Amino acid sequence: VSGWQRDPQALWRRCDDRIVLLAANRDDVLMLEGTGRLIWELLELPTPHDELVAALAEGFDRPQHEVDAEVTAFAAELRTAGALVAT
Amino acid sequence: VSALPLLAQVAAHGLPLLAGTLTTPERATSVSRPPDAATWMRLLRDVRRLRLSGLLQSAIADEVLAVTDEQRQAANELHLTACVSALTLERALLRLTDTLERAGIDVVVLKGTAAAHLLYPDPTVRMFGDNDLLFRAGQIDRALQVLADVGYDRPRAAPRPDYDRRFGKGATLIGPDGDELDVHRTLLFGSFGLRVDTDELFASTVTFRLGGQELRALGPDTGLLHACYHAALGDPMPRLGSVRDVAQRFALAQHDPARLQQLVDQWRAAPVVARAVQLCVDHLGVHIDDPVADAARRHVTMPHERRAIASYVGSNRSHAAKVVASLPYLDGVPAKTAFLRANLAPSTSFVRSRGGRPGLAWIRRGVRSLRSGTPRPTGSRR
Repeated sequence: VSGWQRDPQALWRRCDDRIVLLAANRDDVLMLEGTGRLIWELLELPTPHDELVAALAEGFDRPQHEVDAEVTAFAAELRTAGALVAT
Repeated sequence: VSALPLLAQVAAHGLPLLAGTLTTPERATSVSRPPDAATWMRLLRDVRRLRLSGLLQSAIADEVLAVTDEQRQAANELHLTACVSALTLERALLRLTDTLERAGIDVVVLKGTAAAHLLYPDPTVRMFGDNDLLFRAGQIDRALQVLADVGYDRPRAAPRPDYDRRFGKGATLIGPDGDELDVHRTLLFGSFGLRVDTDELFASTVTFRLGGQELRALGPDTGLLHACYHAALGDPMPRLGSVRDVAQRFALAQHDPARLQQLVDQWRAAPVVARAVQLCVDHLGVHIDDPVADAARRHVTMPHERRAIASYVGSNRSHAAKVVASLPYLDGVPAKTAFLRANLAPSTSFVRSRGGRPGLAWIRRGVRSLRSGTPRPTGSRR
């Protein structure tokens, strides 16, 4: 995977400090809060994985390898749900 | 602090004040103290009823409206419910438009979803409670059949077999999941609807992307007129969300004033635009600076136009009143006769679906309501 983008089929709304998401492969609604919401907002345009990780690592002042693992797991979950696609 | 000014403030929140489109005379710009419990409950009730939760949350987030933590949480919960409902409706919409287009049927999305995605910087501020689809008159019977095939039920039959295609505004359907779908042949029933050029509605569409699909919506000129019809004639007590759509469209200034004026003249819609523009002043406190709005304000409303407007939003409004008020808008005796026959002598299946007895009783009922029209309390459904 070189990067990520929102699945165009996903339907979503901002609601207070959350993203309310109806992903393509799910009938139930997903909520993205905190870092999840931040990642969603960062993915307004297709973004290279490394760039996403670097932005979050810098923003949260965390080592890149830690952030990398978390972003990879999070993105994989949303990919399975039909909310993100790999680029 | 009373609920009405607060509600108006919520409904007007975030209007794009582009130079020369809107002015906001003498309107408070923020409410610095949280409303008391009773005021808040009224506000929340009205926001729920009028589907203004997105604007309420936006006004709170922008600190235009001060609230307590509990009030903020209540507003967030209300909006979360509205968001889930909107997303569910959008998914249903995508499935329907896909099915209909595969069947070769042209579809234009009206109001809710289209307004949310085309008019507002963030669709979350524009909530809606159903889907609205416009079809060509020549395809509406086929569209209704396709929709029936995928489980959309029509609780009320058409008054006559050719009614949907010739005279009706459309029909309300209920989907297999309980979602409401309004099917339209034109923008509204009655006098003003009869003048709407339905071919023009399809000729000047724009598109928006939703869920990976490209959907059609009314263009800026026809869309603005539709917003005016809906705000001015949709309810006796104007729905603030509809009035906001009018102000939003004028504020965005995406319309072509010359073309819009042409449509207003052709569709004899000046009294409707005048009423919609006045509602923006009365209910949102915004004055619209636009040549079409100015021309509408100068329009001298004729008695038959007053009767036409009253048939939608007056105290004697009724289907029968709309039928009578429509006659001056129909050209020639054959058209008037066909319209009367379709509306006052409905088919047996229609009368039975409304719980009536076929035959003379239905006509007598119609004639009674034509003569007197029992006054209804303001705010009751038509």
